Amino acid sequence: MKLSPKFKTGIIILLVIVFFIILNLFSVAKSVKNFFYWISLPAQRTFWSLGNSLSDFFAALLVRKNLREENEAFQLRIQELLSEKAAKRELEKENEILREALKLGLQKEFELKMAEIIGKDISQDFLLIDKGAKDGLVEDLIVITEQKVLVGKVKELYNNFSKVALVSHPETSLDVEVFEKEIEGMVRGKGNFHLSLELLPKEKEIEKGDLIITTSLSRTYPKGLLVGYITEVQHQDVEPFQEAKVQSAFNIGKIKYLFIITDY
Amino acid sequence: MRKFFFLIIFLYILALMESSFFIHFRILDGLPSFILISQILISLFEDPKENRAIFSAFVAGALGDIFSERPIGLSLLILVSLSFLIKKTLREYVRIPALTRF
Repeated sequence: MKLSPKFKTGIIILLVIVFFIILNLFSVAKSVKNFFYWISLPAQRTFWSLGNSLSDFFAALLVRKNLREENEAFQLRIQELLSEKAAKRELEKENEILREALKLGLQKEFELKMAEIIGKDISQDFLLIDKGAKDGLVEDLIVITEQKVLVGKVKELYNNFSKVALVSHPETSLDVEVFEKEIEGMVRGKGNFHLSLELLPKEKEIEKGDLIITTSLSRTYPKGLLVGYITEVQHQDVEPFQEAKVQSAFNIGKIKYLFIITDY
Repeated sequence: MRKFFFLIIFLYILALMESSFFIHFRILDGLPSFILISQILISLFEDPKENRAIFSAFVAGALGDIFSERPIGLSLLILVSLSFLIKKTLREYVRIPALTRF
Protein backbone atom coordinates (compact mmCIF):
# COMPACT_ATOMS: atom_id res chain seq x y z
CA MET A 1 0.00 0.00 0.00
CA LYS A 2 1.37 3.35 -1.05
CA LEU A 3 0.68 6.31 1.24
CA SER A 4 -0.19 9.68 -0.26
CA PRO A 5 2.18 12.62 0.47
CA LYS A 6 -0.60 14.46 2.35
CA PHE A 7 -1.19 11.46 4.57
CA LYS A 8 2.54 11.16 5.26
CA THR A 9 2.75 14.86 6.17
CA GLY A 10 -0.24 14.47 8.48
CA ILE A 11 1.41 11.52 10.22
CA ILE A 12 4.67 13.47 10.67
CA ILE A 13 2.83 16.48 12.14
CA LEU A 14 0.90 14.22 14.50
CA LEU A 15 4.11 12.52 15.62
CA VAL A 16 5.78 15.90 16.24
CA ILE A 17 2.82 17.06 18.35
CA VAL A 18 2.81 13.80 20.35
CA PHE A 19 6.60 14.16 20.83
CA PHE A 20 6.21 17.65 22.31
CA ILE A 21 3.31 16.61 24.53
CA ILE A 22 5.43 13.75 25.95
CA LEU A 23 8.42 16.09 26.29
CA ASN A 24 6.36 18.49 28.40
CA LEU A 25 4.64 15.81 30.47
CA PHE A 26 7.90 14.46 31.83
CA SER A 27 10.79 16.41 33.34
CA VAL A 28 12.75 16.32 30.07
CA ALA A 29 11.49 19.79 29.13
CA LYS A 30 12.71 21.14 32.46
CA SER A 31 16.16 19.63 31.93
CA VAL A 32 16.32 21.13 28.43
CA LYS A 33 15.33 24.57 29.74
CA ASN A 34 17.78 24.26 32.63
CA PHE A 35 20.61 23.42 30.22
CA PHE A 36 19.85 26.42 27.99
CA TYR A 37 19.57 28.77 30.98
CA TRP A 38 22.91 27.45 32.23
CA ILE A 39 24.79 28.00 28.97
CA SER A 40 23.10 31.38 28.45
CA LEU A 41 23.70 32.69 31.96
CA PRO A 42 26.72 34.96 31.20
CA ALA A 43 25.05 36.42 28.10
CA GLN A 44 21.73 36.92 29.90
CA ARG A 45 23.46 38.68 32.79
CA THR A 46 25.22 41.00 30.36
CA PHE A 47 22.04 41.76 28.41
CA TRP A 48 20.10 42.37 31.63
CA SER A 49 22.70 44.83 32.98
CA LEU A 50 23.05 46.54 29.60
CA GLY A 51 19.28 46.89 29.20
CA ASN A 52 18.98 48.19 32.74
CA SER A 53 21.64 50.87 32.21
CA LEU A 54 20.30 51.93 28.81
CA SER A 55 16.70 52.13 29.98
CA ASP A 56 17.82 54.24 32.97
CA PHE A 57 19.66 56.56 30.59
CA PHE A 58 16.66 57.00 28.27
CA ALA A 59 14.26 57.31 31.18
CA ALA A 60 16.46 60.08 32.59
CA LEU A 61 16.30 61.91 29.25
CA LEU A 62 12.52 61.61 29.13
CA VAL A 63 11.88 62.84 32.63
CA ARG A 64 14.52 65.56 32.60
CA LYS A 65 11.99 68.40 32.49
CA ASN A 66 10.25 67.11 35.59
CA LEU A 67 13.45 66.55 37.53
CA ARG A 68 13.40 69.88 39.33
CA GLU A 69 9.87 69.42 40.66
CA GLU A 70 10.62 65.83 41.58
CA ASN A 71 13.82 66.88 43.28
CA GLU A 72 11.96 69.37 45.46
CA ALA A 73 9.35 66.76 46.32
CA PHE A 74 12.06 64.24 47.18
CA GLN A 75 13.86 66.77 49.36
CA LEU A 76 10.67 67.23 51.35
CA ARG A 77 10.19 63.48 51.51
CA ILE A 78 13.77 63.03 52.75
CA GLN A 79 13.13 65.53 55.51
CA GLU A 80 9.95 63.71 56.46
CA LEU A 81 11.78 60.38 56.48
CA LEU A 82 14.62 61.78 58.54
CA SER A 83 12.21 63.04 61.16
CA GLU A 84 10.38 59.68 61.07
CA LYS A 85 13.73 57.93 61.43
CA ALA A 86 14.61 60.03 64.45
CA ALA A 87 11.27 59.23 66.04
CA LYS A 88 11.72 55.54 65.21
CA ARG A 89 15.20 55.53 66.72
CA GLU A 90 13.75 56.76 69.97
CA LEU A 91 11.19 53.96 69.88
CA GLU A 92 13.92 51.42 69.07
CA LYS A 93 15.94 52.55 72.04
CA GLU A 94 12.91 52.16 74.24
CA ASN A 95 12.23 48.76 72.73
CA GLU A 96 15.83 47.63 73.26
CA ILE A 97 15.66 48.61 76.90
CA LEU A 98 12.39 46.72 77.32
CA ARG A 99 13.80 43.62 75.58
CA GLU A 100 16.86 43.73 77.76
CA ALA A 101 14.64 44.00 80.75
CA LEU A 102 12.52 41.05 79.69
CA LYS A 103 15.59 39.08 78.50
CA LEU A 104 13.84 38.17 75.28
CA GLY A 105 16.78 38.69 72.93
CA LEU A 106 16.52 39.51 69.28
CA GLN A 107 15.83 36.75 66.84
CA LYS A 108 16.31 36.67 63.15
CA GLU A 109 13.07 37.41 61.41
CA PHE A 110 13.60 35.14 58.42
CA GLU A 111 16.04 32.64 57.00
CA LEU A 112 16.99 33.98 53.61
CA LYS A 113 18.77 32.93 50.45
CA MET A 114 20.02 35.53 48.01
CA ALA A 115 19.45 35.15 44.27
CA GLU A 116 20.24 37.17 41.18
CA ILE A 117 17.66 38.04 38.50
CA ILE A 118 18.84 36.85 35.11
CA GLY A 119 15.72 37.12 32.97
CA LYS A 120 12.07 37.87 32.76
CA ASP A 121 9.08 36.62 30.83
CA ILE A 122 7.44 39.88 29.83
CA SER A 123 4.05 38.46 28.96
CA GLN A 124 3.39 36.46 32.07
CA ASP A 125 4.78 38.30 35.12
CA PHE A 126 7.58 35.85 35.73
CA LEU A 127 11.21 36.35 36.75
CA LEU A 128 14.05 33.92 36.26
CA ILE A 129 16.54 33.71 39.15
CA ASP A 130 19.86 31.90 39.47
CA LYS A 131 18.92 29.61 42.37
CA GLY A 132 17.11 26.32 41.97
CA ALA A 133 16.39 22.91 43.45
CA LYS A 134 20.14 22.28 43.95
CA ASP A 135 20.27 25.30 46.27
CA GLY A 136 17.52 23.86 48.43
CA LEU A 137 14.62 25.84 47.01
CA VAL A 138 11.14 24.38 46.83
CA GLU A 139 8.00 25.65 45.19
CA ASP A 140 5.88 28.36 46.84
CA LEU A 141 8.72 29.97 48.79
CA ILE A 142 8.21 33.69 49.24
CA VAL A 143 10.53 36.10 47.41
CA ILE A 144 11.25 39.61 48.71
CA THR A 145 13.64 42.48 48.09
CA GLU A 146 16.24 43.63 50.57
CA GLN A 147 13.76 46.31 51.73
CA LYS A 148 11.27 43.58 52.73
CA VAL A 149 9.04 44.31 49.75
CA LEU A 150 7.04 41.32 48.53
CA VAL A 151 8.04 40.32 44.99
CA GLY A 152 6.25 37.00 44.53
CA LYS A 153 6.51 33.24 44.94
CA VAL A 154 8.75 30.53 43.53
CA LYS A 155 6.51 28.77 41.04
CA GLU A 156 8.66 26.58 38.85
CA LEU A 157 11.90 24.86 39.83
CA TYR A 158 14.82 23.75 37.72
CA ASN A 159 18.07 22.32 39.03
CA ASN A 160 19.98 25.60 38.97
CA PHE A 161 17.24 28.12 38.29
CA SER A 162 13.74 29.01 39.38
CA LYS A 163 10.87 30.97 38.00
CA VAL A 164 9.23 33.47 40.33
CA ALA A 165 5.60 34.40 39.75
CA LEU A 166 5.34 38.09 40.60
CA VAL A 167 2.73 39.36 43.01
CA SER A 168 1.04 40.89 39.94
CA HIS A 169 0.65 37.46 38.31
CA PRO A 170 -3.07 36.86 37.57
CA GLU A 171 -3.10 33.69 39.68
CA THR A 172 -1.79 35.50 42.77
CA SER A 173 -4.08 36.69 45.53
CA LEU A 174 -3.23 37.39 49.16
CA ASP A 175 -4.70 38.78 52.35
CA VAL A 176 -3.46 42.24 53.17
CA GLU A 177 -4.16 45.19 55.39
CA VAL A 178 -3.88 48.92 54.93
CA PHE A 179 -0.96 50.01 57.06
CA GLU A 180 -1.87 51.85 60.27
CA LYS A 181 -5.58 51.75 59.42
CA GLU A 182 -6.36 48.16 60.30
CA ILE A 183 -8.50 47.71 57.20
CA GLU A 184 -8.26 44.23 55.78
CA GLY A 185 -8.71 43.29 52.17
CA MET A 186 -7.37 41.15 49.40
CA VAL A 187 -4.77 42.02 46.76
CA ARG A 188 -5.20 40.30 43.44
CA GLY A 189 -2.69 40.25 40.56
CA LYS A 190 -4.04 41.62 37.31
CA GLY A 191 -1.06 40.85 35.09
CA ASN A 192 1.42 43.24 33.49
CA PHE A 193 2.55 44.59 36.90
CA HIS A 194 -0.98 45.68 37.82
CA LEU A 195 -2.56 44.91 41.20
CA SER A 196 -5.95 45.60 42.66
CA LEU A 197 -7.07 45.80 46.25
CA GLU A 198 -10.47 44.19 46.69
CA LEU A 199 -13.07 43.25 49.33
CA LEU A 200 -12.57 46.49 51.24
CA PRO A 201 -15.56 47.43 53.41
CA LYS A 202 -17.29 50.44 51.89
CA GLU A 203 -17.47 52.44 55.09
CA LYS A 204 -13.69 52.34 55.65
CA GLU A 205 -11.74 55.31 54.41
CA ILE A 206 -8.72 54.70 52.26
CA GLU A 207 -6.78 57.16 50.17
CA LYS A 208 -4.10 57.44 47.53
CA GLY A 209 -0.66 56.70 48.96
CA ASP A 210 -1.83 54.33 51.71
CA LEU A 211 0.63 51.49 52.16
CA ILE A 212 -0.47 47.87 51.80
CA ILE A 213 1.19 45.15 53.87
CA THR A 214 0.68 41.41 54.22
CA THR A 215 -1.18 39.88 57.14
CA SER A 216 -0.76 36.44 58.62
CA LEU A 217 -4.42 35.58 57.96
CA SER A 218 -3.81 33.12 55.15
CA ARG A 219 -0.62 31.76 56.76
CA THR A 220 0.96 31.66 53.32
CA TYR A 221 2.82 34.96 53.59
CA PRO A 222 4.76 36.30 56.57
CA LYS A 223 3.13 39.24 58.29
CA GLY A 224 4.30 42.78 57.62
CA LEU A 225 5.81 42.54 54.13
CA LEU A 226 5.25 45.66 52.06
CA VAL A 227 3.13 44.89 48.99
CA GLY A 228 2.66 48.36 47.50
CA TYR A 229 0.71 51.59 47.80
CA ILE A 230 -2.70 52.72 46.65
CA THR A 231 -2.71 54.78 43.46
CA GLU A 232 -6.44 55.14 42.84
CA VAL A 233 -9.56 54.46 44.90
CA GLN A 234 -12.61 53.24 43.00
CA HIS A 235 -16.01 53.82 44.63
CA GLN A 236 -19.04 52.19 43.07
CA ASP A 237 -22.40 52.80 44.68
CA VAL A 238 -23.91 49.51 43.51
CA GLU A 239 -21.07 47.33 44.78
CA PRO A 240 -20.98 46.20 48.43
CA PHE A 241 -17.19 46.66 48.58
CA GLN A 242 -14.81 49.30 47.35
CA GLU A 243 -11.72 48.64 45.26
CA ALA A 244 -8.40 50.33 44.70
CA LYS A 245 -5.58 50.16 42.23
CA VAL A 246 -2.26 49.28 43.83
CA GLN A 247 1.25 49.93 42.60
CA SER A 248 3.90 47.39 43.56
CA ALA A 249 6.49 48.84 45.91
CA PHE A 250 9.39 47.38 43.95
CA ASN A 251 10.69 48.62 40.62
CA ILE A 252 11.50 45.66 38.43
CA GLY A 253 14.00 47.68 36.43
CA LYS A 254 16.00 48.66 39.49
CA ILE A 255 16.39 45.42 41.39
CA LYS A 256 19.12 42.96 40.64
CA TYR A 257 19.13 40.73 43.70
CA LEU A 258 16.26 39.09 45.52
CA PHE A 259 15.88 37.18 48.77
CA ILE A 260 14.01 33.93 49.12
CA ILE A 261 12.49 33.27 52.54
CA THR A 262 13.28 29.66 53.34
CA ASP A 263 11.89 29.78 56.87
CA TYR A 264 10.04 32.26 59.08
CA MET B 1 25.31 25.43 5.69
CA ARG B 2 26.98 28.61 6.91
CA LYS B 3 23.70 30.49 6.44
CA PHE B 4 21.91 28.00 8.69
CA PHE B 5 24.60 28.40 11.35
CA PHE B 6 24.36 32.21 11.31
CA LEU B 7 20.57 31.96 11.36
CA ILE B 8 20.65 29.82 14.52
CA ILE B 9 23.11 32.21 16.22
CA PHE B 10 20.99 35.22 15.23
CA LEU B 11 17.77 33.65 16.57
CA TYR B 12 19.49 32.53 19.79
CA ILE B 13 20.75 36.06 20.48
CA LEU B 14 17.30 37.46 19.61
CA ALA B 15 15.60 35.07 22.07
CA LEU B 16 18.12 35.99 24.79
CA MET B 17 17.68 39.70 24.17
CA GLU B 18 13.91 39.38 24.21
CA SER B 19 13.95 37.87 27.69
CA SER B 20 16.78 39.96 29.19
CA PHE B 21 17.35 43.17 27.23
CA PHE B 22 14.23 44.40 25.45
CA ILE B 23 12.03 43.97 28.51
CA HIS B 24 13.56 47.16 29.90
CA PHE B 25 12.09 49.12 27.00
CA ARG B 26 8.39 48.36 27.30
CA ILE B 27 5.93 50.64 25.49
CA LEU B 28 2.38 50.96 26.86
CA ASP B 29 2.79 47.90 29.08
CA GLY B 30 3.70 45.70 26.14
CA LEU B 31 6.57 44.51 24.03
CA PRO B 32 6.42 43.19 20.48
CA SER B 33 7.70 39.67 19.91
CA PHE B 34 10.85 40.20 17.89
CA ILE B 35 11.12 36.49 17.21
CA LEU B 36 7.68 36.49 15.59
CA ILE B 37 8.42 39.66 13.59
CA SER B 38 11.76 38.33 12.36
CA GLN B 39 10.14 35.04 11.41
CA ILE B 40 7.41 36.76 9.39
CA LEU B 41 10.03 38.89 7.61
CA ILE B 42 12.22 35.88 6.82
CA SER B 43 9.20 33.99 5.43
CA LEU B 44 8.11 36.97 3.36
CA PHE B 45 11.45 37.89 1.85
CA GLU B 46 12.93 34.47 1.25
CA ASP B 47 12.61 33.01 -2.23
CA PRO B 48 9.24 31.15 -2.20
CA LYS B 49 10.94 28.06 -3.62
CA GLU B 50 13.40 27.86 -0.71
CA ASN B 51 12.44 26.21 2.58
CA ARG B 52 14.96 27.85 4.89
CA ALA B 53 12.19 29.84 6.58
CA ILE B 54 10.55 26.62 7.83
CA PHE B 55 13.83 25.56 9.46
CA SER B 56 14.21 29.06 10.87
CA ALA B 57 10.64 28.91 12.28
CA PHE B 58 11.47 25.59 13.94
CA VAL B 59 14.58 27.00 15.64
CA ALA B 60 12.94 30.34 16.52
CA GLY B 61 9.90 28.60 18.02
CA ALA B 62 12.02 26.21 20.08
CA LEU B 63 14.21 29.04 21.42
CA GLY B 64 11.16 31.21 22.08
CA ASP B 65 9.60 28.41 24.13
CA ILE B 66 12.80 27.68 26.05
CA PHE B 67 13.23 31.29 27.16
CA SER B 68 9.58 31.78 28.10
CA GLU B 69 6.97 30.26 30.36
CA ARG B 70 5.22 28.44 27.52
CA PRO B 71 5.50 24.65 27.13
CA ILE B 72 8.18 23.58 24.66
CA GLY B 73 6.67 23.09 21.23
CA LEU B 74 3.80 25.58 21.33
CA SER B 75 5.52 28.55 19.66
CA LEU B 76 7.42 26.11 17.51
CA LEU B 77 4.24 24.67 16.02
CA ILE B 78 2.65 28.10 15.65
CA LEU B 79 5.69 29.60 13.92
CA VAL B 80 6.21 26.63 11.62
CA SER B 81 2.52 26.70 10.63
CA LEU B 82 2.62 30.46 10.10
CA SER B 83 5.79 30.25 8.04
CA PHE B 84 4.35 27.40 6.00
CA LEU B 85 1.15 29.36 5.32
CA ILE B 86 3.06 32.48 4.26
CA LYS B 87 5.28 30.48 1.93
CA LYS B 88 2.34 28.56 0.45
CA THR B 89 0.42 31.80 -0.14
CA LEU B 90 3.43 33.46 -1.75
CA ARG B 91 4.20 30.40 -3.84
CA GLU B 92 0.68 29.91 -5.19
CA TYR B 93 -1.06 33.27 -5.20
CA VAL B 94 1.49 36.12 -5.16
CA ARG B 95 3.82 37.30 -7.87
CA ILE B 96 5.92 40.38 -7.11
CA PRO B 97 8.82 40.46 -9.57
CA ALA B 98 10.27 43.71 -8.19
CA LEU B 99 10.52 42.36 -4.63
CA THR B 100 14.10 41.59 -3.71
CA ARG B 101 14.50 38.19 -2.12
CA PHE B 102 17.55 36.63 -0.51
